[in-house]
Amino acid sequence: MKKRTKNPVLKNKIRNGERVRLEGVVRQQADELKIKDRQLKNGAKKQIRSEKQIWIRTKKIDEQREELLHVTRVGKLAEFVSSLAHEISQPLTAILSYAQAAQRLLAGREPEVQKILSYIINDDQRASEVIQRLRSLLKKSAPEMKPLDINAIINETVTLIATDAGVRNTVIKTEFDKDLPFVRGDRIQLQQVLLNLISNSFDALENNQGDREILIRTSLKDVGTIFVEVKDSGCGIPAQNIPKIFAHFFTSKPDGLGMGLSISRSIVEAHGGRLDVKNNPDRGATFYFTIPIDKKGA
Amino acid sequence: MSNRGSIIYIVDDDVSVCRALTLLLKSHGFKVQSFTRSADFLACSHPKVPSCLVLDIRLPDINGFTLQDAMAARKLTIPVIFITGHGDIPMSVRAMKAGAVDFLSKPFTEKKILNAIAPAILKSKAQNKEQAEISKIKCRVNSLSPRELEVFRLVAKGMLSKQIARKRGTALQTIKVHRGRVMQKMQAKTVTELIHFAEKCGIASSRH
Repeated sequence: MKKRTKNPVLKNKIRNGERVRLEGVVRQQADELKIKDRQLKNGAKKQIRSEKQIWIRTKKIDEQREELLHVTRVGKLAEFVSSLAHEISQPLTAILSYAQAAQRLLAGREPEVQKILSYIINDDQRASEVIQRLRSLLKKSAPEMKPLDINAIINETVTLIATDAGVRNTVIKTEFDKDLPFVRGDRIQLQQVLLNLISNSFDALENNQGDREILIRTSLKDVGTIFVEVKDSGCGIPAQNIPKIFAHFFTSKPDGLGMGLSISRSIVEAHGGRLDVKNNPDRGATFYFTIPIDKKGA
Repeated sequence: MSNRGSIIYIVDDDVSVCRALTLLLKSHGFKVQSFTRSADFLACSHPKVPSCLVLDIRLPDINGFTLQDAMAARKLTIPVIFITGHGDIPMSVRAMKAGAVDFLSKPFTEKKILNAIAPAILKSKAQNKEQAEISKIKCRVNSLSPRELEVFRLVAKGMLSKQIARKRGTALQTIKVHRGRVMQKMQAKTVTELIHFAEKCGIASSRH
């Protein structure tokens, strides 16, 4: 109240001064806003860029996982068909020999029966040709044997299955011997074995209340062999199932094919190693395999 | 060729395959013995007649390759024809390298199995003849006295009687007597034949 002046000129002067000051403030604030806006825009761009990178990386992992799953599926199918071919070729062998024996025993007699026998023989051979074709169709491509770092392969596999582990609330821990020599093997096939063992452990841990943990350990067994263990604290394996667990078509899961472990064992054996299992003294089971080191690299 | 007197052994875990092959091969005049387990085949007696083994590679107890090794370890020389429902090339290569006479992928025709059996039986005959000869020679070697055996060894090594006498510090005449007896007991007409006998029963390559 005190400051209010009655002089209109003075009043105007003050008003002008005030306006200039205010305009300055506004301009300054606008400039600051512009800078902040620019900074924000830059930040957003950066964030978008890193989000894109994450997305690309995830996509890559997804693709790899898909590829691996596909190989596993095709592998399972091939193994399944080859087992089927074997199962069918047994009775076909028997039928063919029965019919040819009968033909011989009837030599010169019973022309009608002879004719029937020759039909049986023809159709048996037709069926075996189908099997031959199927076999040649599924002939497995030779594994690509290369010097490999087993620890790196385990890490790759763990990355591939990380999402799955997250969903299942399971922690995968690794305990590596850092100074291991290279092994000689096929990367995809070894990953297939590891994936299979890990996903078996997932199933074994399904009903665990609290801790769901899988431990993968590597060590040097002797000069020429590396030892890999996949240990879980799940339900373990009933003793009577242990001898059968690696057989074709043996499964304790309602929707299992019974191919995973048998394929895994044949892969490990093809690498010159051995895959086996034991129940842990406390709880759960440990699958372990050996794999020879790469002699050329050593 | 008459098949009578030849034995065909079959080892296959599939009962039906065993039975069918038995019927088929019996109809061709062979004597047939079939087994669903390798161990049973190893445990049975194997008379010294021309024979061959028709062997499945995948068996529940001892697999075909291991059985092949077990036979070699027992000096059971019976030609092997492998049969398999998983006919793949690496397997057949391995089988042939281990001395199999043939490798058939299931199912196979009568003609195929007979074509595989014929040379196997011929091989078995030759092997049996060889073994009979060797055991005859070994029998003769056993009839030698220690002194005669020693002289036999040295002769087989290519030493002359004079050299042997010098080496042993014995009179030449004594060595000649021993040598004559060796020739007589070994039923060798010439020294060449004697050396041949020595090679057959592994005398030439042993110590001394």
